[in-house]
Amino acid sequence: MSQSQDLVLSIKGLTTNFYTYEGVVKALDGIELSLKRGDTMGVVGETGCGKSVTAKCVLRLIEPPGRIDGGQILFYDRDPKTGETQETDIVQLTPLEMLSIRGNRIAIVFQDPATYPNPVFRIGAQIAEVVTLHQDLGREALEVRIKELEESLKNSPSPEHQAKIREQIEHYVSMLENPPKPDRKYARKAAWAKAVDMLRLVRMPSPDQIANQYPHELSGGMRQRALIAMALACNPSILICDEATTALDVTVQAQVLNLLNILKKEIGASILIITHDLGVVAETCNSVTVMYAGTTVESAGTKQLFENPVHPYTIGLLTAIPKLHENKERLDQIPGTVPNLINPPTGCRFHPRCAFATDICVSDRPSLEEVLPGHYVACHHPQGNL
Amino acid sequence: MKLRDFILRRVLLAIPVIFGVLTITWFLSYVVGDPLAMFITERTNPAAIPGIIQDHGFNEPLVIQYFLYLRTLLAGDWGVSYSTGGDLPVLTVIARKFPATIELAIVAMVFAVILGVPLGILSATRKDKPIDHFTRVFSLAGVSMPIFWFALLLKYVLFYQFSVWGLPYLPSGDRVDNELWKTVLHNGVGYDFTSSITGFVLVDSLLYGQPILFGDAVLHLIMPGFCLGYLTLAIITRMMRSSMLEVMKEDYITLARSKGLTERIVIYRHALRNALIPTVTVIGLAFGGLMSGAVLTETIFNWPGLGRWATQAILVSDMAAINGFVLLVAFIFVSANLIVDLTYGALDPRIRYG
Amino acid sequence: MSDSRVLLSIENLKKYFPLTGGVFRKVIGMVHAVDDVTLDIYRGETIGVVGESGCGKTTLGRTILRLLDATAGKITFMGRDITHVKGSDLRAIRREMQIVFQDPMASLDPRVTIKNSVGEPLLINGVARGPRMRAMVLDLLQKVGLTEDHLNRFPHEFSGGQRQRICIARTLALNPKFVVMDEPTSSTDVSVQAQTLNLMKDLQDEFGLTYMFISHNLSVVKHMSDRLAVMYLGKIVELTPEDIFRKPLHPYTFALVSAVPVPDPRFSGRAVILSGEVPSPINPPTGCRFHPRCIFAQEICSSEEPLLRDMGDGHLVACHFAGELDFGRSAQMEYARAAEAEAS
Repeated sequence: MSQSQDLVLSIKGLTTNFYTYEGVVKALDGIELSLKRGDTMGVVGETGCGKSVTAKCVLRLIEPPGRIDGGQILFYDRDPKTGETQETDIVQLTPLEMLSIRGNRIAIVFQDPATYPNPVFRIGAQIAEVVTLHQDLGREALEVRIKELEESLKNSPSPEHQAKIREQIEHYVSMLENPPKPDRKYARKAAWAKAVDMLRLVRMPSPDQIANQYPHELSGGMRQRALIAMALACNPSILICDEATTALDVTVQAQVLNLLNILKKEIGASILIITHDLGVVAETCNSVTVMYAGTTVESAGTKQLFENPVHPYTIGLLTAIPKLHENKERLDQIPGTVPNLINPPTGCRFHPRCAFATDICVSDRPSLEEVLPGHYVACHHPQGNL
Repeated sequence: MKLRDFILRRVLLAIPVIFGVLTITWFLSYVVGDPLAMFITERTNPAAIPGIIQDHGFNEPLVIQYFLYLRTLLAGDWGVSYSTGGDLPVLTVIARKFPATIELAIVAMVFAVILGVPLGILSATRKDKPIDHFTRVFSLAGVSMPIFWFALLLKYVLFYQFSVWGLPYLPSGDRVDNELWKTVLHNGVGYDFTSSITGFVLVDSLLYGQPILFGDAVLHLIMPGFCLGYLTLAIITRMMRSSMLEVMKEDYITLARSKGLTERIVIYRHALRNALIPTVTVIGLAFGGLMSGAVLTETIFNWPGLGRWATQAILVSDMAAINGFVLLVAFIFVSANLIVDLTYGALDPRIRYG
Repeated sequence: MSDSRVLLSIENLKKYFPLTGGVFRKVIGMVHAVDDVTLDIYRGETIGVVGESGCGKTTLGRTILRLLDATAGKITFMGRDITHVKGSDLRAIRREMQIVFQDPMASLDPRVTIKNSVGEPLLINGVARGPRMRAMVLDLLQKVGLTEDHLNRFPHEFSGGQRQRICIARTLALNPKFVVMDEPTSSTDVSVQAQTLNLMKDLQDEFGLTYMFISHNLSVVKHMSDRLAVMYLGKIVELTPEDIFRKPLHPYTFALVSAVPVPDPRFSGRAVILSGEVPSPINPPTGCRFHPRCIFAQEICSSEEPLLRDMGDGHLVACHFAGELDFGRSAQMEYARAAEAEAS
């Protein structure tokens, strides 16, 4: 599609099936998706379109009976120090190799803040866990130790004692250049401090206190912030938000979306926002991919897509939602229901619900074509202004 | 602060339960039954009976009798058990029999927990694999096999057949091999539970400084301990398996995986603690059951514990003993429930506020 | 009150839930779920109730239907005080007032066929049975767009949207006058939601129904309603027959409206970011309940509770400064500053 240099994620022909007793659920059938570095892309579609499955594929979190049966998920990770970009096909990684990417280079925030944090661990511990897992805390642990010594220097009774402490401080400062593997106690403290920092980053009031609380003691909005903090703790290249604001109230959602917009500038991660809410896309994303029944149907810049939707499904989706700023007696509705993916429609999967469908739509699967610069659509009869 | 309230509330709630039990036992033995039976034996002089009635207030109105009963109980007078030989006070008998039961219960519980929890986890994380099938059959056998049959089977193989085959075999019953103890201790009585230090053979043998006696005690505990623990083991395994399967479907497990944690840590750090919460109930209540004595196991292995004593007491209508036993069991279950509740609070931070 | 256009009227309705705590489970507080709500609902209209979770909108709906007993206040339905009716009188009233819940799967018995599920109210109330019931059920199903061969199927054989239509059919079986819709489309997809909403409008015309439409989704409520009530912490803060989104008068309504993500990039980034969270309904703030989060708040707002005032054309607002506030770009900036200050 575009130059691979400025891409951070490129999904090509991704196919995922779920082997259930009722039959094979063809959840993803040749998904195409490209995320540019620094971009925020919305992935929209209705229940069962495969948007969440795609997210789980990117993290290789598909559990049996599900299986990735084909395609590539190319991840271009850039080393923050050297600036070199490395291409990895996530589909080909071993489970062990995947562990160092998951939660570290690619992180995810899930939908329901009520059920995703582990109820029996403190918020701070849950964030610190991911920090300890992926980061070598050598330097941070030394800094914690030095800080503690400086603290005790202030309360030190005798000059000899003070001299001794100073000596120790110097010793540790000299090690800062080339920090050794941290010992457990200080690594734990450093991870905790990092967790508190992350809570501060997501604009949590009194982060020290919050870190010591259990999930049930926080409101939904606060918990979702904590989960965002957890996801960002290792400075990931890609942050995936899987319906991250769906379960929140409108004003809380506005707070969280606003936070994401601010953080976008601060953290430099590329963001994939998975949602069914076109409003959320318009508020936060600069490009959109529309999915339907396990296929990519349209992909374009946000403005372009909202102003000039080309795929009949996208058009239907945009006109079916009631809007605040217009009065309409009746809503346009897309007839029928989302197809069963065990026996999906032949050809274009949208054809049974499409007003423009012809014979070719029943027999041939349309491929994703660039109809306008940067505007891709998979349709035999594209609408809109072309 | 909140935790203190929680504990206090749970302890206070136990009080009415204990009172309820006291009242029901009193009602059954004093109102429905004949309380005199507790204080007379075949050897009691008939002429003394009016005196006994007078002394214990059995001619008073029921309400007064109830308070008299409570007063004597609280004063530590639980009547005399004549079925033990030597007409001992009930509390004394309990003090002698209870350690045997506790010791057996602990061993059984250790068997059950140490094997049951990991088996349950293994079975859940390898669902529908051979180990899971094996565990399911194993635990199904545990819950469905009659305990007396299993005990006899164990004895037949591990004691009788092994000795026939000339293999090292396990003792067929009793807490200790008394001949061995006599020889080692040179005291002419062997293990004397009336004057033992703690009443726990495992502890006493070590206190005597005799590893060989400790070994003997262990050998005697293996068969009854496993036999008694097998049922609990089976229940724990099944409970652990199902709650583990439930927990592994939870969203926070997906989150833990998405952090890049290894499956091992996901299971043992994130899932286990949550899955233990329902299992703890089962463990606590089963322990209560074990502590109140196991009639069949104790009888088959000739174990001088509470269960066998209670059976004896029932057979010869030793009312004071039965009464004492019922009260003790009630106390044990109330405490087991209390401990379960407190463990809940420790495992699940949400409960303290519930 | 003798206005014949009024179908249902609520006066000073309160619903408090006791909160217990401590060693002896004493009542240590009250959750003020619905606190002094007065509202007239006219025949044939749809009154929308919107607000965030915990604002009391669901409790309000259930208290009106007598599914919960009011703590104080009066509910008048068709000229009759129903606040305390019991037994067969209550059952008679329930035939006239129905509710559609959010989760259709949870409100249909999975082991009962659609015919029996929808026919149950007819049977219980002795309206019809046997072939007559079947005919009536079929008629209802056809009205909601289902067919004869759906009659003997079970709930799991239907999609979410179809199930919700089945629930609507059951609701209509007894020919009610008043239906509370409690988040009826919150668990359905966009394309199905449009179908359900259109159907509900059609049925309203056909059966002459009066709706109370409860939802957290402003766009949906606005689309459905003739008048709209905005609730915050147990109180109605604004009630208007106008397009609330063009002319919000209460600062909370303004914030709420602006926070809705607009599916149009041209209008994006206009959300007002409120600071903090909704306070606890156990100890609601004094005076105006919104004052701790309101950038326009003055001294009077924390001391005196504003009452609903008519700002013309039946547009009621409970704000001391209604009509005097400027919700321009500057207000949005002011809110953003307040939120940022609170966070750091």
